[in-house]
Amino acid sequence: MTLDQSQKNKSNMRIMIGCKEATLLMVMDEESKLSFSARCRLIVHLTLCKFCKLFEKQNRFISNNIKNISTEKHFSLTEKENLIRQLQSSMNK
Amino acid sequence: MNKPDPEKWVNKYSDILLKFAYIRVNNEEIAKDLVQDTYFSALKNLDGFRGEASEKNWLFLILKNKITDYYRKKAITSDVEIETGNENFFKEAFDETGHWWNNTKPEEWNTEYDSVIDSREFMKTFELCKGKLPEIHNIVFCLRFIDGEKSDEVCMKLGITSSNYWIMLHRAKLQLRKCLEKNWFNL
Repeated sequence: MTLDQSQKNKSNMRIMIGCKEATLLMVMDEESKLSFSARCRLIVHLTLCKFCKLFEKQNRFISNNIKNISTEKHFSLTEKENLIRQLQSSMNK
Repeated sequence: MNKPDPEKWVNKYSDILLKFAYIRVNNEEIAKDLVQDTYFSALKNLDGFRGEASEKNWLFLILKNKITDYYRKKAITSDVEIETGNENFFKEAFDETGHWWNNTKPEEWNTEYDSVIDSREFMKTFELCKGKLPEIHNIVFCLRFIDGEKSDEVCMKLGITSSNYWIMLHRAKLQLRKCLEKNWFNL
């Protein structure tokens, strides 16, 4: 292998990233934390990998939908009564 | 403030305070304790309330501080076990070359990806999946996506490094994605 070829391979290595790195870069990209070269690597990966392309959409879906998350947890009547009693007795101390 | 009225506080604010706390700590008992502590602190610090904020906002402010204290405690106590857990998680998600395994590849979901789903059942599933995150990952995830804090703020608040922050957020997103796919979209 000539020196030229080995350098070419090295730079290919840097351009081609795996899905693990690509998904991390997408998570970072949501906060605009990517350098120019990282963004290039991500774009190249996304044009080649349909699974990561799906991840990109689903990741955005999760970020958008989490804002509406709610729960049905509540205090029972007895818990509320107990709480009121405790608070009142601490006031009277 | 006039004479405090615990009965009114409890009846009027307990459930909204609990919901706020629960989605941030993922544990009903702890969330209830935090609400209770909030009321006790409020009684002790009545002077701190001068009617500038509404009573409700004042209680929320106290609760937020309680949650932050709780987060800090949790962030300190977690280390080696979390690291091993993360390593195992990523090994199960990606092969040695960093590509998806056959059984972890994202599948197409039957939804509009830009939509917001407004359904009680979906929220329950989301709550369930979020509840499966390790506690510290849930904390990082909540601060970032529910409270809208930036990475630097989260790292400073919890005393964690930025590389740990990204590992935890990365895992949280992968884990939630997989769980939603399995339990909602591709049931």
